[in-house]
Amino acid sequence: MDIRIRNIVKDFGRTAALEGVSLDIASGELVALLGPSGSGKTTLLRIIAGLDVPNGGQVFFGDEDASHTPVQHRKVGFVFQQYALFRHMTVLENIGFGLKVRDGATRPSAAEIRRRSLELLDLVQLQGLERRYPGQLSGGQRQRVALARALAVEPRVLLLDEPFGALDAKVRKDLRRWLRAIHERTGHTTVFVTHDQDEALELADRVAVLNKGRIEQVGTPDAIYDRPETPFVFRFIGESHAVSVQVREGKVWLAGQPILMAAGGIAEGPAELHLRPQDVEFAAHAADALPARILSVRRSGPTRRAEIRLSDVEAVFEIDAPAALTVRPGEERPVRILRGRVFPAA
Amino acid sequence: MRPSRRRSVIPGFGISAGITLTMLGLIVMLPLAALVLRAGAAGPDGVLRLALEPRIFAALKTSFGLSLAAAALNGIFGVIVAWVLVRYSFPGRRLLDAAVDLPFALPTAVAGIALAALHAPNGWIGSLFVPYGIKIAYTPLGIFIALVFVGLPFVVRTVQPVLAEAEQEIEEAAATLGAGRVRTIFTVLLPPLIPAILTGVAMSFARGVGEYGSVIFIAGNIPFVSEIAPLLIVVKLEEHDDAGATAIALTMLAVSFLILLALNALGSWTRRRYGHVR
Repeated sequence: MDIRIRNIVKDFGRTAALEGVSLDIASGELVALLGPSGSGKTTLLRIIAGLDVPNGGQVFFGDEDASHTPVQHRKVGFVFQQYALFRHMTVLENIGFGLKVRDGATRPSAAEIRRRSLELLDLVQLQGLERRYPGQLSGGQRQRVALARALAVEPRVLLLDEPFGALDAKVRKDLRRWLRAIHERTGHTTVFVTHDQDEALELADRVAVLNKGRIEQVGTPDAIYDRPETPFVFRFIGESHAVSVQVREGKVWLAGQPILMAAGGIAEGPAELHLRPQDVEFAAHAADALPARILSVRRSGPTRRAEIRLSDVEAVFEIDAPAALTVRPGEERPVRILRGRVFPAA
Repeated sequence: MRPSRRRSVIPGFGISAGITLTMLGLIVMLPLAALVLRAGAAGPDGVLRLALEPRIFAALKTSFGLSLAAAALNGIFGVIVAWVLVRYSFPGRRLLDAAVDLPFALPTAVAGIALAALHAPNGWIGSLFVPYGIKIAYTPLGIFIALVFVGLPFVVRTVQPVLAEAEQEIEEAAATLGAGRVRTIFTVLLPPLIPAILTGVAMSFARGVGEYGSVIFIAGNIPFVSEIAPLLIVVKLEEHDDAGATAIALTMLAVSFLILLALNALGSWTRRRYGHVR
């Protein structure tokens, strides 16, 4: 089922949570809503589910305007951050709940409910745990039960709120891969909320980056990472530092030197250059390079992370250097900017 | 008998158990044992014969029947009050929360006189029911109201913390799965509360059975109609009928013990059934 979100506005009293958000989600797509806390991502998810009512705008499920459909009839599968399992019911009763509460004609027989619940238990790889209570399961297992319970109602869309937020790093990685596999098998249109950019980029077909109640950019993980459209997206995805620059004659000038980069349609005048640690390298010669002083060096995985200060502009940022290169704090070393993104000054 | 040998942060099973047993023995068991001893003079037959004497039997029936009924009603309203106090925030919520405990603090005679004045045929509430031929004060209905009054805080205070711990997301989860409000309340919200509700009901019942001060003012104390067993004990004592008084007391003790035992057994069964708290 494809979902179209049109111009959703939501405020909680005086604070605006969403300021006119529109988003199209194709059938079978896996979309991440990514943003810092307070960006409105969870509110948007809850509005799609019908758990929150927007002040304006519409939500379409296919051609149906679902804006006024109560949550009970929207047929969404919602996985809560803390799972919200029914603690007094066994795992199997939890999974079968959505089928059991259907009325009269649409309710499957008890045997059918049991059969389908067991099937889902299989899908989430928890065979043999059907008689356990949620309190007897680990966090990762509860998460799987919550997913199976949401899938049992044959939802038109699957919505997950910070699905891996409460789990430790190792379990998180496993579940991420596993969720992707489940999505490929079941093909549900899926939207999940996360504040973890790695999670969003690794798992989603497309990522919508939210900030302060607005969508900053929607795109594939590659587009979001390689071609951020706003300074916020650049800053939020991956590490970055900003340096003040000047745009003149179609070139970008830093400390009175043109750097190897086209200004790309940015208006003449002051601008901001955003750099990732990989975008700068130590230069062998002073020619065509910017003088810099090394402030500190530390080991970071396969590379060395050096904090440097550009001598002429008082800008401090971090760069990645090969581990083989020995650099010491206090040393003067010229650096060369390889890439970067220029945005108009804020 | 020693508990597991594992060292705990706070040691001292021996001393704490000693204090517990001494306290229980001196303060609870000793007076009860004296009661049993006193009644023992009449022998079990004597006690039973006295208890089945029509006026005493009627008083016992009134006491236990109305206490159970009041506790049951408190079981329902206490949950609703607890729900409102936990789930909604509104001006005056803290005041209302504090007011729940007033029946604990108020001298019971004061409560009894106030209730009697309100529900008397010329009282604010009582007069509303006169046109329908319903008399509240000086009837069993009056006793019932007094017992509801004194028992309500027990249910509210036992249910409140359990309700406060329940996640609101549970209801939302039920709703996304298609469950309507009524079904959500009865299949998702209430079952985990049952053990706490039963505990509250048991305490409310126990308080009702022993309640004296607030009841005697509103009851009218008409033998065979609105006379409660504790009052009859006082009556017997004033008549210097110690044997009769102890017989009633012992019967009350035995019946109360059995009912509380049953409620507790039910409570621990539901706890096993529904109480899978993390």
